[in-house]
Amino acid sequence: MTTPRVLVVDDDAALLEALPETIRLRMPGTVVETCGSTAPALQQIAAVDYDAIVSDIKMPGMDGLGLLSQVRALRPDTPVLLITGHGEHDLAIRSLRAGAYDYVQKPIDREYFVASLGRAIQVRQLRRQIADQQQALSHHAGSLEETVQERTTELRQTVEQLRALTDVAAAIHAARGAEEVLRSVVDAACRLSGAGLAVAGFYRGDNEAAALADEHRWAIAMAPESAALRLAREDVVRIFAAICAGERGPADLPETVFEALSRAAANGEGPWSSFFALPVRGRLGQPLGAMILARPTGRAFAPEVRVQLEALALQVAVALENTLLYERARGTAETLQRSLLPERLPEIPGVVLSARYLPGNHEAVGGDWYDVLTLPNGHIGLVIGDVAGRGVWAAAVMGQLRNALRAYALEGNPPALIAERLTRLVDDRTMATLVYLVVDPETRAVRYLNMGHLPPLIVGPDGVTRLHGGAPPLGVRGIVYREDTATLAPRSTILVYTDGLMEVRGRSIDDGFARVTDVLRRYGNAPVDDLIDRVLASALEGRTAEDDIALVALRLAPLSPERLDIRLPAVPASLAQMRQTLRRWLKSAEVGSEESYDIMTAINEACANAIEHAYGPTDGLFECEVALEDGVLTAIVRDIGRWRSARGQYRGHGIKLMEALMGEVEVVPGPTGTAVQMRKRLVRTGRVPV
Amino acid sequence: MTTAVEVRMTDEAGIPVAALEGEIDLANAAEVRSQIFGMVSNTAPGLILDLSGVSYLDSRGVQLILELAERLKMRHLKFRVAMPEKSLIRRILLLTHVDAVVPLDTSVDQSLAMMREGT
Repeated sequence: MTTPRVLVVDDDAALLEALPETIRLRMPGTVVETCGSTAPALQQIAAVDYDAIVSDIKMPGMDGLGLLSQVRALRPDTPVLLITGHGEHDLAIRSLRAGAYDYVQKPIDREYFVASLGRAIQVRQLRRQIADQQQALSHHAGSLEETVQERTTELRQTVEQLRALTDVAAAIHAARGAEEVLRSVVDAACRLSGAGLAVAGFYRGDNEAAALADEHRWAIAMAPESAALRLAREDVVRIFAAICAGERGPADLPETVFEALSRAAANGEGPWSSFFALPVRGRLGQPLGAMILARPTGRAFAPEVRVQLEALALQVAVALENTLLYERARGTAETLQRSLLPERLPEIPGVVLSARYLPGNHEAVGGDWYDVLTLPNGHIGLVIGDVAGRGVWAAAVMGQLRNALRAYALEGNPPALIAERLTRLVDDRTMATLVYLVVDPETRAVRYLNMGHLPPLIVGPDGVTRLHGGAPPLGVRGIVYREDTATLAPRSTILVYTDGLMEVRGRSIDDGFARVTDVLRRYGNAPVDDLIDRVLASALEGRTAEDDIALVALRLAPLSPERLDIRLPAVPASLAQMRQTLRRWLKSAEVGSEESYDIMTAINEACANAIEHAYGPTDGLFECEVALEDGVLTAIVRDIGRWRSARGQYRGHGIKLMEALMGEVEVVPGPTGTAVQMRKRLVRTGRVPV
Repeated sequence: MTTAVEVRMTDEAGIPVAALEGEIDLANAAEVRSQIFGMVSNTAPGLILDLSGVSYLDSRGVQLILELAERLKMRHLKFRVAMPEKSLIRRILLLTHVDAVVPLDTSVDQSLAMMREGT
């Protein structure tokens, strides 16, 4: 407890001397000051915070009650003791009502006075103590609130940073392909760090550290995009290579490395020197890419920002590694699928073929395929199929089915037997739809088997029809397959396709049929290439292809009796097909069977020679033009498509046979190969009446 | 499309008969030749080539018959070729003078009879 200070106010000089004496004697350590009147007393009170005030109630000028009310206003907590005359009870009560702490009647009972004053001082001092504590408490509470607020702000910032990072991660992982990942990375890096320039690169180097400086292996994105105008790719690659080659982790690289970068970043504002560069590494530590961020000079990247950017780099690494895996998987599937589609369609006189394959914009390739085969008997096998599922697995299954079907078909097996064998080949997981259709170009008879696939469409003189009938999809067990047959009108076109052609999101398949049927009806007589493009275009109208689309059109065009053009690969296997086509044409031109045989044999000899002398194993072609005019048949056989020196003399039985069978044979060496020209006057044809 | 031919070997009382069915051209002549060469043993009196079922034969087929004739001659074996009189391939064999090297009969029976007579 501090030293108590008491003020005594009285106009009675004797009492003003006696009372302090009593206080000093009875309450040692108490400081007592005195005042003879109220006016100076008020001044004193204003200056000093007394622990108690003792005042006579009766004084000239302002009396004790007046002083009391002043003190109540000035120092409401200071207790005031008033001294009243003997028996002045009214005054005493008034003084208590006015807020006096106590009153003491004259003659003063010293014991009572001292006790009352002591209590007053004690109460006053306790009150002051409580006030102090309250103040300290409220001060403490204030600072506590401040601290809480500070912490909350920090926490909120951290949460925001985390959220920003999460958003970035979501954007990065949602990105398709490396370019999109990089794009979102540079945008995110600028947002997270307040950088004015961000450059990110993706290294497709197959873990080869040696090729880090190879520009072709880097994909690069910059924000803002305009920076690309000022920043040379080769400089960026040089910097990235240096970052990736370094053993250290995230670090500031020497400014000299960043000269070009500095100029690019500043955009004419003077050089920048606050850079932060960090490599992006895969799980095995292999370089996947790098990032550089720049801010104006003097605005360095704060440590917490750096931590965030490092976290970003980890996210980027995961995204890029996934991208690589995905690209590889898709690449494999695409290559596989492409290798399984025919490189070129066979050229068969009297048959016009056209095919389209449009990969969907889906992430993984599908299992659609088509195939066109020339069968041993000269018929044409048409295949369209769709393996359920996507990716490498679907492409691989498709490959197996395609090759098996080819093998069975080229053995000359009928559709039902092929279907049965294919069913034995597939396992329980496989579900595929398939149409195998065999066309005899001579009779226009069609044999087919549809295994759960959409029906082939026929456009002919009778309009557009569907080839009905079929079996469940391939993979369903216990089916007895039975082929369906149809005979087409001359000039009919068959269209086979996968469901991507008919199915447009949000539309029923009937809409698809109506749409395609409409196109076929309107353009059924257009050239086959044109027709198939129009059909495809109708499926793409107002949307991007989501599913793969494969379609093949086959038109049976009657052979012209005046002219036949055959063009086939220069391989021995082409001879049988050449003869079959020729036989068909000679029949349609009404040439007698014996003369037909002679002509066929002669032309076969010329073709066999062209094939035997063909350069290289498969890629040459030979061409055979036959014309019939005024009873004279002319045939020209030549090898085409590549230059080689002229063949030597024809030797052996071949030339003898040609001469004997045709009459006129001329071998003409030309700059691009040898042409054999033959002429034969026909004894009798339907066109020249005897 | 490939050229299809089938080679069937039979034995007519000790005389081997190779019956061909289908077409013979550049695409399959070499294979047919090696098949027939592998089937003729030195203990046999000779070989009859039955071309009744051949619908087409080009100069490689002619070449095949001439090579066969030469080989069999070297091994002192007899050789005859049979096909119907009206066969279109007979014309080809006559045009290329195969008949000057190999006797052409009109049926396997005729060939067998001729061979048993010792010609």
